[in-house]
Amino acid sequence: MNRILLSLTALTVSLTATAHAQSGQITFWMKKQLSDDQNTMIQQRALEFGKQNNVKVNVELIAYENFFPKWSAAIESGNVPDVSFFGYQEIGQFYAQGVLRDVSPLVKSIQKTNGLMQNSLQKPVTFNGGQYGVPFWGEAQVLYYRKDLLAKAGFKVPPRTWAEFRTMAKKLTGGGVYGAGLGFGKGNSDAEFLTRAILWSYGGSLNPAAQITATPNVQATNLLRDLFVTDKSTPPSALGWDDSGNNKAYLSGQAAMVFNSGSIVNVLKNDYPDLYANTGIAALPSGPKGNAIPGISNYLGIFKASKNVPLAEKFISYLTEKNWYGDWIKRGAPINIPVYTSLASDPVWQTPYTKPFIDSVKSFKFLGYPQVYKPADGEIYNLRLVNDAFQSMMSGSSSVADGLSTLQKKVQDANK
Amino acid sequence: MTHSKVYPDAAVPRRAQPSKARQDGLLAYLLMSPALLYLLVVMAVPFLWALYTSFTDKTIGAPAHFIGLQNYLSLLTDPGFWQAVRNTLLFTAGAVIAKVIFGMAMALVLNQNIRFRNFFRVLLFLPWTIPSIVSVFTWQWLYSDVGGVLSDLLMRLHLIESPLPWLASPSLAMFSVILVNVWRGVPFVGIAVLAGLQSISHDQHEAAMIDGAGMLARFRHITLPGVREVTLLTAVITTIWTLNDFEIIWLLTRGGPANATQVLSTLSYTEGFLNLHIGKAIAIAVVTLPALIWLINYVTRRSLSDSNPAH
Amino acid sequence: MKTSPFQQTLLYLILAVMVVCALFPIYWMLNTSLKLPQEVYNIAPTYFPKRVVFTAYQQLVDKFQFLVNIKNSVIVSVVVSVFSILVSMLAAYAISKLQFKGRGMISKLILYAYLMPHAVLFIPLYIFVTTMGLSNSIWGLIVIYPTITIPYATWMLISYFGSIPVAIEEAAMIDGCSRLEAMVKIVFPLAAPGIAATAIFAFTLCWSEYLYALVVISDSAQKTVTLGLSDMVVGDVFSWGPLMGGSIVASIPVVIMYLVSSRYLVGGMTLGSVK
Repeated sequence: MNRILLSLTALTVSLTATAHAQSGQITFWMKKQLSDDQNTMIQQRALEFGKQNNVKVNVELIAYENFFPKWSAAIESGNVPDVSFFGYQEIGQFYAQGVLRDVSPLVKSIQKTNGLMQNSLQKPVTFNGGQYGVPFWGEAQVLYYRKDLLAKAGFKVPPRTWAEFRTMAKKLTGGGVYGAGLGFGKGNSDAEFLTRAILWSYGGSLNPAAQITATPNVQATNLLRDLFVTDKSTPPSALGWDDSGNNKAYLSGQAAMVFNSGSIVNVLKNDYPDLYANTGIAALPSGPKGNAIPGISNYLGIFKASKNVPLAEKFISYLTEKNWYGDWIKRGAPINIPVYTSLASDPVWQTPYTKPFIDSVKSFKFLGYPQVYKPADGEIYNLRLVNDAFQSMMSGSSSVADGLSTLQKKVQDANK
Repeated sequence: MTHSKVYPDAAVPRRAQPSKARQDGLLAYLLMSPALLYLLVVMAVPFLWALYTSFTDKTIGAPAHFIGLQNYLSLLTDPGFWQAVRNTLLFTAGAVIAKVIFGMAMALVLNQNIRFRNFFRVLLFLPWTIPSIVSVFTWQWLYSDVGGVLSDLLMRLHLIESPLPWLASPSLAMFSVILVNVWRGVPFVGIAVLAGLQSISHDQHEAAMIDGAGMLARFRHITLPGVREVTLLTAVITTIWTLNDFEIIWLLTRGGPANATQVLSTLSYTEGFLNLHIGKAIAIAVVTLPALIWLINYVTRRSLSDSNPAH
Repeated sequence: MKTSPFQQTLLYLILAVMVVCALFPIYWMLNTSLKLPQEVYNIAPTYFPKRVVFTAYQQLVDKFQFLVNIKNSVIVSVVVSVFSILVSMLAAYAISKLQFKGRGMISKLILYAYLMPHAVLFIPLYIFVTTMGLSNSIWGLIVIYPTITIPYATWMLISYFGSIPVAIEEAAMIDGCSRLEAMVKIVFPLAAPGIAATAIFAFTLCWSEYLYALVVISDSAQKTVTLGLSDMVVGDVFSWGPLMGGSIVASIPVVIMYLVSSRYLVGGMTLGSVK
């Protein structure tokens, strides 16, 4: 019995190995986009590439959250996709694990053919002189505001600073409407970014950890505390919001101002024409020390364990070919921000609904700011240490001083 | 042929005839071999791999180095870990007790002669048939302060003035996740116990009633003993599943707010797949092993001694 | 069995409360699936759609190819539950009715399969599936799902079989039945309610499993129902209509399974007939 089992296993393993060694196919894991058009275009582009190069391209469209267990299983089993989408945090994490290829030659050749890519998007994935991801698209968080409600309260322009934001939010709150639609649930990745942006705009940060309890952070936290506790301009459930919480609040009319990526714009355009007309979009408010936009950038990368590197590189070049890419990225505007500097002047990016997004790119700051991003910064983000700390400070369970010093300790532990 | 008494104990231990013993032994192994073989081939290696990895510093993509008990020691000094332990105990105890009580109630009710009984059985079974990920999204809506029904109903009944922060308040959040787990899990206990109830002969109840036994007495002396073992087993299996339950809490609160619902399974997932520290993540899971092993040993010993034809 | 009118009313009252508690969220799913997206986001919830629309169900078929998901889930769940029940019935009979060396240890080992959570086991199981060349196929799931169903099924059956008195079997064997005949012709039929209940649950365990399916399957044509549903959530935007509608549709096959096997759930062992 044993011998039969062993030989069967050996047989299957060798058969599978042969299948993989075939140059006949590559696998591409891509983040599922909100826009159906974009998803379809990706699949068609893959088909085209397949025809032109006589290979089979397996495209998997995967929702972002679902990537994590899949990546782990792929890396551990060696059954990795040849090309995969990655957010910049994952590039950092996987680079530290030594599983990603250095793609700087590929990036160079792509830029030679198609023009320069935004430098701010290349920095976070450059380590030790090598670049580990090809920029594919960026995303930005902006301020959405109800033009009609603001006008009624006497405001003609959106808030430009956080202090203004507080004043306006207070005036806008009442009758079931809340001026400040921001929340801190554990499932809330938006909040992790937004809180950092606020801290950074006050000159504060999480790096080095010693800075966490310094004055700039205290000032920024006090502003938030004023919003939540003193003015009560945030919706009651905000402390438990996941990423869809602010969407719900804005779409239902509960919140007059929210912060989000471009996903709300398309939902408004398709399903809520009246609300769409009443919506204004602006860059995030600034703090005393300037403007900081939490950068979200997305890449295409190649695993070291890929068995078809030349094809993988060729496919990435095919996906970043400027004409096709320009068309693809347009259909995802304003959620997806183009990586080629020359595309920023396209008319699609000059409308009131899209300009704030493209303008944000130059102020992009990434996790770990003001220092260079390191994997521990990604872990701190994943653990939602900032959300936790702010949840307890905003709910009153801990004072600002205590909350920040607890956060400091946790960050120091995570950095070890 | 032995006459059964009026209140027979369902399982009457009997001594097997000695000449059959060896035949029985061989037959037993033959009958068990498909199940055992399958579990051995598929589970043994993964299980041992997991156990071994918890003693290493393994991260996803990197080779593992043996580090002994270091993962466990670092957990012992991590207050987040202990909070997860407390939450796990709270969540599991709360959910299991509720499920067993309501499940038994459901089984008892469905065992009665009610009209359209089959129809009601299907209805009460439905919560279990909806995949967890969907139940969670639905309950998110019920708990929401925007378009959320639970708060709305309570407000209409004038029991509260403004929407309750079901998932936003650390104290309420645990109750909220338990509620979803219970809502989903009651049919499992209910149907399992019901099947046990159905196996109890109606004759026994009839005979007892002829003898003048009231409903409560019949419940205590016929019903309860009959389903005791099934209920206990169901309770233990439910406990194991609840202890390891991950989806419901992860999708509802991710372990928040302020780690109020962070249980060992969500902590383990974060460590292992978001932070790539798989060795540590498994160690977190292994921590529950002694308790689970004790539970399993207890219930298996008990079930076997009761139904064993020998001794 | 006669019960007093008071007891009857109380019974129906309790039943009514249970039904409302069990069904209200499901009613809400149905309600939401028939609404326009704008109405879904009303601050004040509407208990009945202002306008009933079926676009969600349309989208399920056209845009989300939900029927393919259902097909895959049905195949996986049926194959796995049938295999698990058959295998578990044999093992359960042995453990509950036969005396043999190592009985205690083996029966414990079966439940030990539950000691490690899925979130920990999926990596080695995925490696196993890949080695067999079954990755990205529902057969990969079929091969590993019994690790979830067999321990549960074996033990539930042990307790159901255990509640059947040995006297009945022994009586049959005295009359000339072999062990195996007694097992098949007497124990199994008498335990029919338990077997049916166990089978249904084995089916539902496969039907609603998510993590293994997520890791093993990438090809949309092989996706199961849970994956199909989770695909309707893209980032922070949920397609509520199709999601809720899809869940309702997803529960239909399970309900059918339940109805089909519910005849067996009505049991009742009568010693008289066996005598």
